[in-house]
Amino acid sequence: MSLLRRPPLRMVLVGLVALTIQTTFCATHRIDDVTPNLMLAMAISSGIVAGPEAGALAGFFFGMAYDLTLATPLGLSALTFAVCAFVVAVIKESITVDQAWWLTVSLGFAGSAFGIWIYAIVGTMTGRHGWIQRGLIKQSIVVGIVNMVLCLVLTKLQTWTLCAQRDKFKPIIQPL
Amino acid sequence: MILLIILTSILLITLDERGNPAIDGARRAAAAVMSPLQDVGRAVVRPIDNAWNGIEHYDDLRKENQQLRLENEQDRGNAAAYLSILNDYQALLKDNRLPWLNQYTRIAAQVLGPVSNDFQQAIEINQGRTHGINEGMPVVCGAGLVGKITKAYDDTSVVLLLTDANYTVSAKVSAVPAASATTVSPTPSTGPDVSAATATTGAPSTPVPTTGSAPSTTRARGPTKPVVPDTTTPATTVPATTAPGPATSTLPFTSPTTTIDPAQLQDIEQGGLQGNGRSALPTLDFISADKAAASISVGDVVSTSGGGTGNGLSLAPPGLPIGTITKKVDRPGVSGPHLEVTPSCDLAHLSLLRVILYSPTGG
Repeated sequence: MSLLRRPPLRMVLVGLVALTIQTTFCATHRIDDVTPNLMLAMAISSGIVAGPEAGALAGFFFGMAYDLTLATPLGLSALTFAVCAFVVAVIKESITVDQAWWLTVSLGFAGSAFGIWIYAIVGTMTGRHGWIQRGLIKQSIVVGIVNMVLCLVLTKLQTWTLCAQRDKFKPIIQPL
Repeated sequence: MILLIILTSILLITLDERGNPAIDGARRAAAAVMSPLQDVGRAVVRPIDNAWNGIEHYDDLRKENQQLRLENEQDRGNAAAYLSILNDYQALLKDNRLPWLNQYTRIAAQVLGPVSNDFQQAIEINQGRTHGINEGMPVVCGAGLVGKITKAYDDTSVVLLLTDANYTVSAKVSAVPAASATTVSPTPSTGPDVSAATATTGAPSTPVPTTGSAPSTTRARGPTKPVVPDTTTPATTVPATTAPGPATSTLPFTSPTTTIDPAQLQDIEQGGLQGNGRSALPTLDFISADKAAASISVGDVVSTSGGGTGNGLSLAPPGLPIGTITKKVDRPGVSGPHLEVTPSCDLAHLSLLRVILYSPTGG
């Protein structure tokens, strides 16, 4: 059980469970024809609890895991999730070091909406057609609302996963 | 740190776009790891879904069932009427050594679910490389073309639907004479049909009689829905050795190649069919603005044209029904008309599919 105290192992376990939920439950339970993005919520929550660098690393990890199950270019989700986690963490750090529920909710919404747009823009830059269209606005709003709620729960989970201290930006996991 | 992550991601994207065996290997390994976990996930989710759907949609399902029974009866009558015509047609193609779709082996597959990404219109099926499936192979349902294999793993594959914005296929428009505008003709499946849909997802494990009707979940709801007939001649059951999946059985599929009565269609023009994402219908473009194009009208049938040379070889054999034209917009100049095509298959409710083991270079 001592192995479970290591954040990387916790991340793998939590990541596998999240990925399973994403590719089964979320894939078949669309909200207004939009797929909930649990993996993006995991990345943003990591940024909220662990700070910019550790959050970006965790986001990269969750994005890579997600990419491996998709037929889109490998690295696209990893890049998006890492940038999202980083930006969210930087914004939060600039406001307060405390955990406030309203801040988590706001960052969950804004970060998710931002992530959807970044994903579409980078995807278009890699030659994918039809990713930036009218439906993207609805998609970013729906994913934002769902992740806003998810982040409230996932920040607690990620505090455990990344061994981050509650209410402080002092993660035990350190960037390489 | 963030810069390093961004550069790594860009490097990975570049390598993947150029095709890298290490990345393909990583994807296959991830699929192997995730497959049992996803099976468990689906096993947990499915009963809850079924219970909920049963409660919420019971009345709708009963009505739909009645409607489908009625349609099925009508379809049985149509099937008998067109059987002889299509047999003659196929015999003619064979005699003239022209390609005909039933010469290709088909693998039956069950839909596992959509991919969990809104940017791609794709689904996952329960057949993969071990069953002979490769990237690019066309996938059909009882009513026509569904899409193509875009990723093939050992036991699963990802099918890019024809509505995806990155999907293109060469297609031709065939006019339906006024007298037979509502006529579509079914034919029995006579080609080799390897069915392994029961492999992992709990479809019937006992062989289904070949005279039975197709499962109701394979119904098509397109506006000009081709008839999915009751199979009246036995489908060829390929020995289990050719279908590595466990519990192989013969499912009463009908070749989509035969859902259009070819005797009554007249080829008008060829073009490229392009998907436009979930919210828009696929469109057919690059048709020259000549007299032939001018005669295209709403309701005409669109099917794959096949052919091509070199790198432009079509990934789908000729004659697969795609759908019907539901909107025609004439454009000035030499661009030709812009056609909106409604797919024959109901892509939102796919259940059982078939992968045609077709390679443009080697059959």
